[in-house]
Amino acid sequence: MNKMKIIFIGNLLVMIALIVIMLTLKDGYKTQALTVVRESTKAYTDEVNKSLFAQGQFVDEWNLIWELVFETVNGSDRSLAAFDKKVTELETAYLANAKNKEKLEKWGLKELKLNITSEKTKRVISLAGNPVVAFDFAGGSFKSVDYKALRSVSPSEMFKIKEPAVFNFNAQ
Amino acid sequence: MNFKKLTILSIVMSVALLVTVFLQKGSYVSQAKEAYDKSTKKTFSNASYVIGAVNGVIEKNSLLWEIACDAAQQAKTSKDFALIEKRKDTGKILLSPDTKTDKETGYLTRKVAWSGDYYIIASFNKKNNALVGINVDALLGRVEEDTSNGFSDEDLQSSEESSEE
Repeated sequence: MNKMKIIFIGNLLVMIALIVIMLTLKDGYKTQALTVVRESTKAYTDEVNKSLFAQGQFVDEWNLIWELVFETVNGSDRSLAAFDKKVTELETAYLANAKNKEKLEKWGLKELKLNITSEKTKRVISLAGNPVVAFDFAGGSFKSVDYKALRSVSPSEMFKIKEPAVFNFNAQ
Repeated sequence: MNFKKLTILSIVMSVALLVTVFLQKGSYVSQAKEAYDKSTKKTFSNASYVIGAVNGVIEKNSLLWEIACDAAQQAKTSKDFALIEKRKDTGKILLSPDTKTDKETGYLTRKVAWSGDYYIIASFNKKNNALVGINVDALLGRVEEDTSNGFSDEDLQSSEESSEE
């Protein structure tokens, strides 16, 4: 009978210890689960937003370049000076738009500047690091523009969303 | 005898508690995985849709831009414009052009579009079919919600009739 009592009391202590361990681990797992889900989800959302912002910036720049080409081929003043002035006007008009300002803020930019390489009578515009439009102003006035590269830009190759990574409970 | 049963019962409970201690982590991992999967899959699906749709708009709008820029340099008449339009639309993505008479200017307008939202409008002088200008406002998002766009309700037939007069 005494042996039974010892076993019972010993087991009771084990049970109490197990309950304490269970509650302690429960809190730890709960905190870990909440933290991991929050951080992993945020990391993925940040990555996705980065792609969306990059595409948004690309689209606005792409549109600005087409607008510049269109305005140049239609412009009455075909001088190089008028072209340079037009670039500034387009960039300023873009910045003056409240919606565009909001977008720039989201992208972490203060302004949207076209990437233009200037030579004496040539202006080459690059988009996403690649030259896409070349203007020729031989003799000081507009002669020709080559926008084949701009036309063949394929955004599907540049902007894709990766699938989320497999969930890792121990990721910190 | 009763005490013996109580002792056995308490041992069984201890074993059950031990099993619970080991299993509870699995339950949290599974709940966390479910929450992560649900949230990220929704983000993935929404963002993929947006990225895909915008990529599609860029690819199709670039055709409209090309037609507008080519026509501005090379087209003298509505026939030239239509030729450029036909030659460039190799993928046959453009809708049938919508031709009307602009009530305000009296010009014959040709709306070239691939959707209701994205289009260019070329204007021609009715007398000699000369290209007067190309409106690219829809490509620049400068069209107001009111989609009348300055068009009259006259259709091509009525515009042809008036040109014959």
